[in-house]
Amino acid sequence: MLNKSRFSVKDLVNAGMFSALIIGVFWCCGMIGFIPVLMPFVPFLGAFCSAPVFMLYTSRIDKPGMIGILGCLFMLVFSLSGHGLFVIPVVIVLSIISEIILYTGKYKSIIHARLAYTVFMASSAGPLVPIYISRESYRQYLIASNYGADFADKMLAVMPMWSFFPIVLAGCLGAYLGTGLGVKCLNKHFKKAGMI
Amino acid sequence: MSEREFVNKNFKHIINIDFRTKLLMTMFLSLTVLSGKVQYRYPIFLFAISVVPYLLLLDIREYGKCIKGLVLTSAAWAVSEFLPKNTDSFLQGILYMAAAIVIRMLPGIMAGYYTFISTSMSDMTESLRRMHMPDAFIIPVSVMFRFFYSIREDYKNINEAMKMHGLTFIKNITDPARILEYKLVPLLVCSMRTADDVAVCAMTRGMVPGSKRSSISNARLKVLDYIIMFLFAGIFIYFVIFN
Repeated sequence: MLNKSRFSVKDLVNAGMFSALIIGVFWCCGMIGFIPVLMPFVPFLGAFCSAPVFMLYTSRIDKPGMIGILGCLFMLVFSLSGHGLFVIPVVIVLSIISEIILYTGKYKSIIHARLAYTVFMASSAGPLVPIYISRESYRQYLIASNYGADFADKMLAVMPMWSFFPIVLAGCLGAYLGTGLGVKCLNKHFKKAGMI
Repeated sequence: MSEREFVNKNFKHIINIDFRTKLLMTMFLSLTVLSGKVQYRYPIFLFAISVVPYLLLLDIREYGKCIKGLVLTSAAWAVSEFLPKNTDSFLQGILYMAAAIVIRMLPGIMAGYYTFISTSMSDMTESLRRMHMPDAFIIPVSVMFRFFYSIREDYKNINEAMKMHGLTFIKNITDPARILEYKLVPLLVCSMRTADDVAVCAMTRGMVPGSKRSSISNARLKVLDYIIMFLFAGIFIYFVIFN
């Protein structure tokens, strides 16, 4: 019995390819995070550089579920490469919201695509969360080894606890700015898709 | 330049485990290594666990990555254990944090790399199908991992072409705005054309998502798979949850 899927082969191949590009560009931008001073800038840069790719992807979407596939692959790659399981619930929720935003724009509106990407990239700080979680156990270890609480706080001053929310916001800001740049660079493709 | 094959089948692998086992192993390994408690209470055990992916890489004859990874891991552990912690220097704090990132993230990345390099495409899709994943997930996953190689080749060619226009490696750092326009956009257009070709090829071969397809692979879960799965699950449960 033929159990036909909702998606055609063209949709799924497009989903796979654009996911590869988005995740690849995000990962390359994440490489600068190995220099610890630059780590807070990783979500901003990653969202900014992946934005043109995502905008091109939205110009080739015409049915719900494609951002969900992108979200699943994002979750798969980042949880299996040692960034922790925190990305999983965050990406699920944000993908659903992005899908709803794109659906209300009827897949033909640039503004809705930009908003959907900004919401989706609030999860760009997800891979950084384990660093915040493990800071607590490092602090307890330092205190247990008789180094003292104030020394522990001084060592961890590079990335304080309250800096998480601004990093998420920076990710969203980078996403919004990047989509503007992406629309300008890839103007021809959006005209062909009828979105402008 | 010789074309590197996805899986080198010219020699026998000693460890033949299923793709599902490798996925579970990667997940439990990366979760155990990421947890801060294990690093500070059982450092020797954590070092032993971090070395496991490199032994597996030895099995598939990836000597270069194995040696580089072992050297980097040992250096990071040496920095984190033997560097004196009671100095004020900023550089030392940065070095310590870089070592912590390497210790936490590199084993997971290497285990994931081993998972996808050592499995052939047919084995991967057959295992995913046996896990009752829908076609809408299996096809993008296999396309994505195949495309990583194709994108890398295309990017290398674009890089070489752009060198003739004056965009060298130094310019990447001094003038980064041009990377986006002169390298990313051609890469996108090139990849779009490849994707359209691949979709047409797949349709010509009669691929309809949702229909039953035969497979050449005989991916089965054997005794070794169950041993490895229970071992890593047990390690995770004991060291992270019960401690």
